[in-house]
Amino acid sequence: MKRALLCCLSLAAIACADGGPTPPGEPAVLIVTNRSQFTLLELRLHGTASYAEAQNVLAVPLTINATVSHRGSGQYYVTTFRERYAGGPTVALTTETPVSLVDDQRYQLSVFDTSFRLEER
Amino acid sequence: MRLIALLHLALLASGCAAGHRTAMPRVITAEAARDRSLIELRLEHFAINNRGRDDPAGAVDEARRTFARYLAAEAKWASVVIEAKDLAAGPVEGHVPVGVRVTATVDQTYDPTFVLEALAPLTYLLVTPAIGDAVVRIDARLKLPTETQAGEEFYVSVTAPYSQFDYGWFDTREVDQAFRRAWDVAMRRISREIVERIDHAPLGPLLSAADRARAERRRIPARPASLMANEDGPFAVAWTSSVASASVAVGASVIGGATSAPVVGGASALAGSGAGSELRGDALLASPRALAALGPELRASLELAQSVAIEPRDLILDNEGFDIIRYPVARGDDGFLSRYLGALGGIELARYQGSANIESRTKTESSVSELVGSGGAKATGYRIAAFRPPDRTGFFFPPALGLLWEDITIASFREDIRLVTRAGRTDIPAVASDPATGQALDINEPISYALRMRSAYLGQGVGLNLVFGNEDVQLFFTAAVTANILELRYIDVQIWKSHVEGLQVEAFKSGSFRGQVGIAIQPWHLALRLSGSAERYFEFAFPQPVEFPAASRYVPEKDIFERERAFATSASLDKYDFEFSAVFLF
Repeated sequence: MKRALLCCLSLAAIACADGGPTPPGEPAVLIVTNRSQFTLLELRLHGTASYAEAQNVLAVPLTINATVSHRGSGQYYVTTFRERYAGGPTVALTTETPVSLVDDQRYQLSVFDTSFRLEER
Repeated sequence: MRLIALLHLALLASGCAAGHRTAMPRVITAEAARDRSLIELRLEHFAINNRGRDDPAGAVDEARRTFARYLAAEAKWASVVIEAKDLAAGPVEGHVPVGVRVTATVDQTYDPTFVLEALAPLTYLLVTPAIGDAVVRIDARLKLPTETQAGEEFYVSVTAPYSQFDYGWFDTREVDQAFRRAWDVAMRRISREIVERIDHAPLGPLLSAADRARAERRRIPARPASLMANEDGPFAVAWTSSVASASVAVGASVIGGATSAPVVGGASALAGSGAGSELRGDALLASPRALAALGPELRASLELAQSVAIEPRDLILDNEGFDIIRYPVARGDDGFLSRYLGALGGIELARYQGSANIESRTKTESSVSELVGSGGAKATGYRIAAFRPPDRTGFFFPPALGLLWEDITIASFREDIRLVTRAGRTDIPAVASDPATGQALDINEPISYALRMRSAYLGQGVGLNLVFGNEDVQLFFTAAVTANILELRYIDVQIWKSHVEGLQVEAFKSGSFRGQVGIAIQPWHLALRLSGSAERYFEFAFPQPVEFPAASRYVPEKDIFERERAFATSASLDKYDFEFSAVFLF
């Protein structure tokens, strides 16, 4: 009996002991899929509501149903640029609220004509 | 079904309903009869062609007697002989016989309106219009005693319109009345012309001889020759003055011998019972030898005695009372300026209101023809133009040559899109903004395009005027449709900051409908009218497909509501105009 109690105490001591610095997790993976009816001219992720200073992460326009991935964790606004209509002006569409991306997680962001959809994978 | 078939048969019968084409009028003496008491009119031939099947068997005899009464009423003849036995007996001694040969032709037209007739089955044949003309033409020839054959034919043709709107398929009273009017005018006109022709015929010598013979028989002095002829015209007076001295020469040169006997003989020969001469009166003057023996003055007078033309020969009678007007009401001719202004009709001041509607349809996932864009424009104002009210009932075929000039904006429809939320995911609305300025945008704002549409067209129309009234007041109704046979179309579409243009030729891609109702009051020189028109231009093609968002629909594979991107290739344009106008009629 004493031996069993001792083992339990030892296990408890181990569990309560400070393990020191833990290794950092992998940045979240954000997979952006263009499910709108338009070709996306630009894709910008930015921490504030303004997208003016943000960089376009697309090397080439993202065609319909094409996908692009991005790594990074934190809270981001996502903005896409597209034509409003064929031959029309370019319009920027920004998520109304930022998306939260957590390390080591994979996210799927679908871009529609007038909305976004974030799903955790 | 049987009832409908019966109705249609009756409708057809309405077009076949025929009145009594020989419906005779009462004889009305037009003027005081003039004295032609030495002339015996002999109605040698009287026939009526194309009589109606409803005419009674004795219609021709009745018409013959009526015509004789017209002749008798027109002048004071020695007699008007119409009976066969009297004609066979020959002219009465001492009369100058003039044969009259008449052939009348009657006809009836029926002019369907195709509009009113359509009401017949709907009204149990109450509305069964009968609209048309009763036409009487009389051809006549005179057989003068101075000629071997009947002279040239002359005629008068009288058209009397009739119209009836109820029970026209069996009630022929209006048709009968029209024929009475036509017969009345035709007989009066032809009788008058017969008188005029006889007055101008070279009968002077014979009349002188007959008058002398009568005077000798009665042992009373002969009247001066000048009193025997027509005293109305200068030609007649001059003619008779020459005859007075020449009549003796006629007798002397033809018959020879004493100057008195041949004259009597000539007159007797005319009567067919004269002794001492085998020559009839007509042979006397028809003989070249006799003519050669005449003095130059008399010969000239005989050659000048040509036919008398009474114009016009083709008459169209005005309406009786307030009725459908099928021929223009005759106006007084006040000279060139009046005719010129009359051709213009009048000056119209109109208040107009116009609108144009455009719409675009295309095939989408949810519809084979979905309305994706529309637009409208309105215009109001005043207009001054020449306008001539319609003056007769009937169809007309106006050519169409025009230009469409329309600037209009077409836009998509506004629609907010629902957001679908589900557990396990986050649906985030998008905020739209202008990348250039960062200013917020309304992503659901309708897409609009400015269009400049032009069309030069050439077409052909068909219209129907219905005009009711009398010579003073006319009510008019008009409906007309026009098909544009050929069009040259130009369109400019402004897509955001750029323009695309197109030019193309189209056939039968547009048309119009026009209608009006109005009243013209001639004594007041005033007309009022309300008019409207509708034009449609089908498939005005865009130079390139133009995008419109279709109506939102649920897309299962995306689990969202979405407005499909639709691309229209053309738009249809409708134009409507309404006018109320007052017209000053010249």
